[in-house]
Amino acid sequence: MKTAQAGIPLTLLEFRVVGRDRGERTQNFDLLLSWLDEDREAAEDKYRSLRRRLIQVFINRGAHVPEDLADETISRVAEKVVEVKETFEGDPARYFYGVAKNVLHEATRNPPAAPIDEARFLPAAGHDSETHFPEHCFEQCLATLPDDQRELVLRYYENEKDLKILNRKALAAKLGIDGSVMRLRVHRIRARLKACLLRCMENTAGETDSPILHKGQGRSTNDG
Amino acid sequence: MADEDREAEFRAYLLGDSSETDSQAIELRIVSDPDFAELLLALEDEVIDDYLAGRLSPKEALQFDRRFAQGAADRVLRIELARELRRKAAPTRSTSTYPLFWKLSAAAAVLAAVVVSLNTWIWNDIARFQLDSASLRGDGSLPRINLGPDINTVELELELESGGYPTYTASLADADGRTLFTRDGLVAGPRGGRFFVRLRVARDQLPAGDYVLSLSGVTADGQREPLATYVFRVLPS
Repeated sequence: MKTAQAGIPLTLLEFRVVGRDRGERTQNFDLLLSWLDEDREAAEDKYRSLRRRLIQVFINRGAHVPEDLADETISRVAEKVVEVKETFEGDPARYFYGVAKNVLHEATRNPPAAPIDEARFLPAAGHDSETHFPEHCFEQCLATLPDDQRELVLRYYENEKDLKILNRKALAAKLGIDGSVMRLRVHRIRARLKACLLRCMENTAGETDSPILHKGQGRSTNDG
Repeated sequence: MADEDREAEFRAYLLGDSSETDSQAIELRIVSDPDFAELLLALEDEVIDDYLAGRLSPKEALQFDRRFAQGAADRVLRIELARELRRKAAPTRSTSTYPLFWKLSAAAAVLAAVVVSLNTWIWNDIARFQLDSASLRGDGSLPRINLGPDINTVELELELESGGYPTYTASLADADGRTLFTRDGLVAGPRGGRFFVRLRVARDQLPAGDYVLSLSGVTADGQREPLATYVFRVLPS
């Protein structure tokens, strides 16, 4: 499934809307979004966010292809949205989660064959095998961070082991924030780095025809 | 109770150690509350860091290995990213462990094999296995140890990121977290530019099952500092 990107209008291609024909699929698509929010733009943002969080749940449950299960969940909700929209009370996310539990239950009963191509992060040809990512990707992505973010994430990892806790407390104090806020801030930097790495690895794979990434391991993963 | 006070509960969920009822309550919040979902992702990062730094308990390390290192590509990527950041933040730290390329290649080669016996030597009745901590196993399995009938002693060679402690302590636990034995006074030695601690275990102390081996460095004043965790599986003979 093509990935939804923030700020870009959703299209029918971006999720598997069910329906007899294009007209019905469009209708289901619009209904699903309008159920999430009356404002179209806000609804699209909510849809993207909801999909990411469904993927997160499936990852936590150990699913190997969580994106597929999230899409299956959305597809089932879309199929029922005409009636559900009128009868279900409360946050639509609760309904999505109810469907997700069923999808998960079925997937657990009938697990798909384990993927045999595990070489999804194989380095590109000529890549220094001592490095886990193509080195230029990691360095490039790190360089794209604003200076203060780069410094924060690297300082966060300084002084491992016993000193680490003290180091992080000192760092949080210097920034005038508490530890949980700093953890969240570092998480966002890591999420940004991860998204950048995926893009870089995809590009590198395209240039070298090297299987750096397993198919489907692009931006559709849970980018936080 | 505030979310900050429920961290242990959330960590248990992430490691697959929650009841179904608790899991569903947490998942409903993930799906309903974007802020909570992000908080949990940040906590996942912390769990990954703790694993890489050898700060998880033996039981947690085993759960992590099953839930994270063998999990979705997204998590594997996040583990790798944390590894790189640690390496970058501490440039003097040696680039330990086997390169992922090597691991994945080896894993691909043995996908169909029953036993992964990487870096194994057998000499007389001693079988030596080399283990690296926090491994990412491309074939989604624990390192497996298969002991032939003639083996009486198992020598585990534990790779370290660096030497530097006068002595080391190793503690072996089973999959339920029960400590089976603790061995003090171990020393590290260099080989091929890397450091290893060797631990000999009688075969009868290693019946078939999953194990977690925790290694601590012991400072000159006797303080133990957790260094690494190694997980492996002994196959039935």
